Amino acid sequence: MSSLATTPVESLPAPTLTTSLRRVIRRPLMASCAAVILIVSAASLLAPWIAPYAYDAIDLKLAATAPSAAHWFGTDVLGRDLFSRTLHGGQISLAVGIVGTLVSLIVGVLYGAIAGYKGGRVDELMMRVVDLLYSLPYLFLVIILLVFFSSSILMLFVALGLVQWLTMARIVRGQVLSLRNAEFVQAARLFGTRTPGIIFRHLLPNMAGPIVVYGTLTVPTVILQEAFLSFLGLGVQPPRASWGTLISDGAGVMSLFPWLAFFPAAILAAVLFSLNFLGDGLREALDPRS
Amino acid sequence: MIQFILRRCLISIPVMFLVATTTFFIMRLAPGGPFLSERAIPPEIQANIQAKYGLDQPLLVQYGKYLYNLARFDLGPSYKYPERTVNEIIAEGFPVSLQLGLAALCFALGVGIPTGVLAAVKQGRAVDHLTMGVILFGISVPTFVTGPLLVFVFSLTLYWLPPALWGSWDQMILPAITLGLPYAVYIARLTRSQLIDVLKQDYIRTARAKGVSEFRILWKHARNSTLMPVVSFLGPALADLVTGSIVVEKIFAIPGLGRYFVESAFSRDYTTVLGTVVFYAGLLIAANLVVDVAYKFLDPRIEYS
Repeated sequence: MSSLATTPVESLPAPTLTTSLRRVIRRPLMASCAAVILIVSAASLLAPWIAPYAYDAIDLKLAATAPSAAHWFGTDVLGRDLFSRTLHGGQISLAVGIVGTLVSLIVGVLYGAIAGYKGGRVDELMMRVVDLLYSLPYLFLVIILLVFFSSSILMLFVALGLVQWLTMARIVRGQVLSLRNAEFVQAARLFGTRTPGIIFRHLLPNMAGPIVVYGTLTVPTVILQEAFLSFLGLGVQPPRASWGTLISDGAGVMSLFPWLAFFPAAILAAVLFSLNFLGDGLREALDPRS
Repeated sequence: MIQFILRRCLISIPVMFLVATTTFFIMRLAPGGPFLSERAIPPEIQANIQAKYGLDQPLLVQYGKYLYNLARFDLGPSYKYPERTVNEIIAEGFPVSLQLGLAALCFALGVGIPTGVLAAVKQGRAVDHLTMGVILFGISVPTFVTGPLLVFVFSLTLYWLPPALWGSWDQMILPAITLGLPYAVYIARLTRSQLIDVLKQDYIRTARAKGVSEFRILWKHARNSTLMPVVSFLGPALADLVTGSIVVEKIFAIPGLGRYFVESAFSRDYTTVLGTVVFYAGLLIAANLVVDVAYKFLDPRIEYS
């Protein structure tokens, strides 16, 4: 095999995921972004215990009161405590973001790895399919799926994950292409390792960096898309709420009760900002050129 | 080149077929139907309506008929608006959506590229950090927050611009900004990082050494290679723009195709949903082809086989 001779000698190893994570966390801005994400996730996760009120406790005497000591974020038009609803909404938004990303990771990584490793005609065909799917109005199909089959949360997870896997497939394929003829892969092949073994045991661990970076950037995208669908009335159904439904409910009465849109929107923006910022920082730290 | 375009057109036929087929069967396998209303309708009338639209025939026959009509660009009658065909609905709603999309795109390019260039030229200085902060923030705020916020500030507080509807030029400003902002932000980011890379190239250094002015370097030497990632971003962005337009049309009560689509999905208006999806798929495939051709003009090194 001629590729043995032409494999370039790696002069400067790319930083591993852990070292770049450490490097990123040491920067104060990055650390505060990580803190925002951790605090909001923890608060949302613990919502059933720390929320001061039930998320669906209606009290019409308190309808649409401004933020106060008793109701930190105020109350909505039905008198429900917005702070409690925002915490519970965070559970759903974050869960959708994470599960949607995981679905896209599984599909995208498998697809990309197979295409890249098989190479040749298989690769060309599989990537052509990705190119074509890229140019389709995907969310239209998601909307159809959600409207025509009841919009359960499970459906939301799957539909959103299935929209997001394309870029992941491209990234993983590119990585596999550059690694498939590396010496350690050839060695594994010589030992008789089967294709799945090579992909999962040898190739994937070496691509953890880009996968994690892109995953970090996918979470905010999925959260935004859930919010988008909720705005159209297709996401979570009342009395449950996600950040998206809270914002869209609040946006309708923004001129009367501005806090109803402000608090969920501010938290959503803070989390998305932090995730995007962290993802960008990680990407830069993993890039050996920087 | 012509061969490339022809081949792409040929490939798009099976894609359109696939889109139509998937959408058709997803809708039909789902429970419910366009004529199942809350009101009890006598079964004879129900059967009559079903027969009128051919819904009583086997699914595969309906599917075959649909494909046959589709090949003749006939998208069929709307189930929701009985006097209108889907072709008419698209002809009515799409120009509005197109105007909105183009206005948003102009805004995105007109604001995004100069901002990106400014940030790149002043790289590492306060202006750069400020724009990058604004940019990341812009990506993180969803359209349905910026929309009502803009209405709140410019229509309900300052009384400068109308808060909704469509028709005159001043009604276009807020929706176009709302829809275009995320793209402006993304384009600014792309432009910045690409221009920073380009300005490090040897040929730029040579130009500087010759004493070419900074402006001329940007305009003559760096322009095309800086615009390349922006152009390739426009392909997928168009698909996003179309879906984003749904939300903006809802916020501003704009009678565009996006609103028709959502309404018809909720009322199970099979033909309108299918027609819109197929129409948009064709549009996006065509737009992507244009993007690829434009790419070729910016970088003559690219070969299309």
